Amino acid sequence: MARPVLWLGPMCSVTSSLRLELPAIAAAVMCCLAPLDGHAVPAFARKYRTSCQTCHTSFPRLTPFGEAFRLGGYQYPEDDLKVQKGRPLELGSEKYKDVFPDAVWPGRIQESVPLALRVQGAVKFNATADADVVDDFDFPAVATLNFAGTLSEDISLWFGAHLSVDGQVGIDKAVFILSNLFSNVGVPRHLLNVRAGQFEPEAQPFSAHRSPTLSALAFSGFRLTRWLTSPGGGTATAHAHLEAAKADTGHDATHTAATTPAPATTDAAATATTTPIATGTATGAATISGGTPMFGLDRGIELYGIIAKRVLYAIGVFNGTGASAPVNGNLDTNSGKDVTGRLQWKIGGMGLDGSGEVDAKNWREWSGAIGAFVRWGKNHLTRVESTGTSRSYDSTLLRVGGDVNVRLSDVELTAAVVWETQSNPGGDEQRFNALGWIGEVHVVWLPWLQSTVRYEAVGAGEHYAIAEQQLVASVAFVVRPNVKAIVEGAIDLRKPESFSHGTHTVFLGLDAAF
Amino acid sequence: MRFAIALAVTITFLCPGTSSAQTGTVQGTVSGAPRVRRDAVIYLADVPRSTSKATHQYDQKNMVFIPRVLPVVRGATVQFLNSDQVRHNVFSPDYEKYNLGTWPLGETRSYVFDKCTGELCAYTQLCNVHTEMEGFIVVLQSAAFALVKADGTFTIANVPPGTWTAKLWSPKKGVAVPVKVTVTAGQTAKVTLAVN
Repeated sequence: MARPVLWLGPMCSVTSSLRLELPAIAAAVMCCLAPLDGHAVPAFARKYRTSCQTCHTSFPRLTPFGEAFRLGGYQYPEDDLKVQKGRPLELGSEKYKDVFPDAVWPGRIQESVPLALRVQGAVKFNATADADVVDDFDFPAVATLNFAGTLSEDISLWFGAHLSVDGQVGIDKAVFILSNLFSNVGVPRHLLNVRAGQFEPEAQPFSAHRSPTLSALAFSGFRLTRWLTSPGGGTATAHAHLEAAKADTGHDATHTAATTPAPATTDAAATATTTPIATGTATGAATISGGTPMFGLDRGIELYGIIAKRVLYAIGVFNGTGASAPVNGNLDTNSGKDVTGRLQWKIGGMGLDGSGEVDAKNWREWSGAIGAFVRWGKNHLTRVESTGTSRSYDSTLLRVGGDVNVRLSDVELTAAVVWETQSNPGGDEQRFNALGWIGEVHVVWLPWLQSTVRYEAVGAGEHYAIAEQQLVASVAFVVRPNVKAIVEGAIDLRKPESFSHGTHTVFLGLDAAF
Repeated sequence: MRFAIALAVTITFLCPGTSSAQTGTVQGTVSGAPRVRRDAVIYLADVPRSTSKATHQYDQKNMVFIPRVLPVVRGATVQFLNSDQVRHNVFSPDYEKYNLGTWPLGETRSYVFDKCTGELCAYTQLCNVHTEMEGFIVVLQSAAFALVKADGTFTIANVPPGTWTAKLWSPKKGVAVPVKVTVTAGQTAKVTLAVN
């Protein structure tokens, strides 16, 4: 079995054989940072002169009100101006709204620049017995600078950039949000909102950004197409691996390190000439250069809103499941665009628009929410054969899933299932499917003591052989509203023959924002 | 002669507002959001209407309207000044709408506020040269009004006896439930309005 030399998250272990492959390592390091990426923004605390815990339990996890704040475009759902204790700077009298179109629509900005810095890191103990390096002072690991606030009423901007200890710089979430469209002409507030940029589509049940754990969601990095990547290119090899593995171990068979390489970590432009299968950086947390992770950041436009306080809808168009080399300076590596959709219905507790009563302990409520989501895309691909000739073909992607979120006072349960199929990702008319599910329990034992346990499994191939499987248990000590310490264990549950199996890790982490 | 004296005495006692001994005072407090009560006007909505021929001055200095809120009785004239070195404009998009043009330091413009028919008309004053400037001229139908002080208190003097409705107007969003107040000649009535 290949010897992992450092823990890089469930999708990102680097074997000794790859030590000299600098591009792969660089990309893997980016992947390593993904678990640490997340958002908690003291800029909001400063704007409203309120505690982080108005919106967060164990930041960046959100309270029901925090969720309403997010959906409202990072402003209070109602009477935002009233609750700003700091006096905003008026960019024109409000009365100019009556003068429009003979004047510019007025606005206001905060007097303080809405910047916030978040620093995260951990001491990591790799429990793999045969590793040369078993512990690592990975602190600080990454600093994230977030500009997050309203440019004016109902116009918000979130721009996040990270700087890692190895000098990597990247853009995280970067999105414009227009909230409460046409509310001034009678359209109900919260019904029509639009956001554009690089962000997590609403059409996914879990947010990697708002996960309270240090370990990345296995889903975040999982791309069916990349999982199929092999040195020879095409799915035929992957099929062969699967068939061989199934012969040995049945349906739980997985591709092995001996026959299947590490998940591709180079960008789409580099790999498109050697493989028809979409690749990209390891997670959606940093650069997006093609491929569609099950969860993660995407570039696109999304229309979303809340109907009757309880139903959330979202319809989006995003860069797709690309595998082609970017051309003409485009970021998209797909010939078409993916469309997404989501519906969620919440029963009990605070309304999605922030309406209703709040418990004195504001994370508490008795509520249930059920949701469904879909993503569809079509890509026209050109494959370069080993002979040097090229041929073109089409492949479609369909991803559907459902999710449940239940809050039982101090306990929050979340579960989701995702099924994905791609009609012809390898150009050989072979359909590939993937199935994943995730379950998480988050408990607020005390306001400063919270725990999270999460199990994830993602399978791929004709019989959904397990490609990713992990169990994460995390305890967060919120020592200050903006500082928390974390003790966490991540157990790799993949089969022994899996690539980089056994990278169990214990974290002692610190997370601070100011 | 006797008739004249009797008539004078009768008028003195019967006509409201002609003597402080025959009017009362309303004192009160506005509680709640300081943002809303700042520059707010308390007025007694149903006091018999009257008009005024008074002239008030309304300045623009250091790029702000001074005072921010100027309450006047219907019929009053407001003389708009410019005490800044830069040219200012004054216009209002409210009610009949007017634009007094743009003028330099030292010049004035005037406007007669005699067209308000409701119990209160708040004319927003804007300068189209400096869009952040904002002021209000509040036209009322009687002199039974007062500006709310910074501490939330107010005093309305020379109120005719009777039971009237105290209301609040504020340049900021926010409302207070109107409150009935009974005024007795020579006495001070207390009232509290709460801003939501």
